[in-house]
Amino acid sequence: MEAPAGIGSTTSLSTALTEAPTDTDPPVVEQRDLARAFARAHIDFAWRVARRLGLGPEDAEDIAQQAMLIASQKLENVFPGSERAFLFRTVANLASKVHRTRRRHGEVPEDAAGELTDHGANPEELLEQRRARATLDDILRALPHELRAAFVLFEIEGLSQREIAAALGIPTGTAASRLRRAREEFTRIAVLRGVLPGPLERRT
Amino acid sequence: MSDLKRWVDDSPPDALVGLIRSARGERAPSRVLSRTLIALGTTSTASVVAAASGGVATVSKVAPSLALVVIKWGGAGLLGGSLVAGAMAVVSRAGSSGVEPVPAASVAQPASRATNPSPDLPRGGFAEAPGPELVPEPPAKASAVPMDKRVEATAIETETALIGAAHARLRAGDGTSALELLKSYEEHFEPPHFEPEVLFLRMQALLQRGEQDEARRVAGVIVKRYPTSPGVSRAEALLDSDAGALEK
Repeated sequence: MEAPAGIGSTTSLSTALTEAPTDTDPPVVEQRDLARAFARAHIDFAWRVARRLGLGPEDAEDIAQQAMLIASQKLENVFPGSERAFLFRTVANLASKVHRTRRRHGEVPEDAAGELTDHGANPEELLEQRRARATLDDILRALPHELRAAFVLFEIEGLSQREIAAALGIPTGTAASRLRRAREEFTRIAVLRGVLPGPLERRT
Repeated sequence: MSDLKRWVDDSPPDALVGLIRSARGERAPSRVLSRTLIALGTTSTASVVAAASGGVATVSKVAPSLALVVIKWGGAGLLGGSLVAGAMAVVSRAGSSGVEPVPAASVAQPASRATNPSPDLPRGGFAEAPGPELVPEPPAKASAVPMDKRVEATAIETETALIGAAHARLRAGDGTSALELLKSYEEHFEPPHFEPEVLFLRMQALLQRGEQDEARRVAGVIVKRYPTSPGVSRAEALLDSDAGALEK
């Protein structure tokens, strides 16, 4: 079927869509396939980590995208099983640059609560999830960076202690102790924020 | 050493379980992957159109009228219908009468990418043009996805394909045509999901046409509006080179 003619710019648009460019270089195609598969598998992880490291939704989008571009150029150096550790380091580096830039310019962070992305839940559930994430991010922001990273990777992203050690460049034992301290700090801050009852309230 | 138990599996207060679980299921907006695939140069025009037509398994079996209806749900109206019609012309070459789709490289019209590749386009950023791929995604259950989500997905996939097409024209050295396509894109998709990509492509196209002043103006917009986008370094370099020229 031919595209309808005589409708101005739409004709050139539809013609453009038929201009499927070819790339017959097999290594390039293979690299593209790998990069695509990598992005599909890990884009949510990269975006979530960026969000939990304190970036707003739009900055997190940019950082997740940049992390995938960087990863696509270094895939051969990423060992199987260490993809998330690699991505975390990349996202953390990029996020710290964004934070520095924003501080330098005195900018206020974007809306930390982000948008409603959990399709399938009803509006009340979505609102509740959004509130919970805002509270979570508020507490995470108050954690020291090294504890926050360990906490996010273990408790939220489900990495093993070995993967966390690789991501943070620390011994496995140190990762375990950071996780324990992170929980203690998280609880303390949650009490201060009124998310959890304090010792006195619990007694009564 | 054995791993600690996850906190949510270790009887923490209910309030903490709720906080942690709220973040575990969070997913990036779908446009993040679309934009990333564009940037990686791996989005395929034909598979995008196949997805836009509802993810039907064999492209040749897609009824054009159905495709038109679906694309109109996406808010693309006549433009979308035209896009699908144009794409169907390609798809019909891949397989007619219910035969299996033919591999893309043997049926798609090759772009003139090799005839006049633009030396200005950086590698690994927005530079790679999308490759062809006519094998569609597995079928999706029509009722599994809410209507508004299908609408959003269709519009975004169409936009993705258009950005890819503009990219292909730019790489073919046809900056003028790429600019026209971007202009049409902006007229039909308001607000565009991919404004940073459009700005970056426009900057590149203007440079290709030798319109330095306008390219620098667009570069300024990129730096101001999208300071963390992947294309910002290229825009900054252009602005810096301008500052250097002024100093001289």
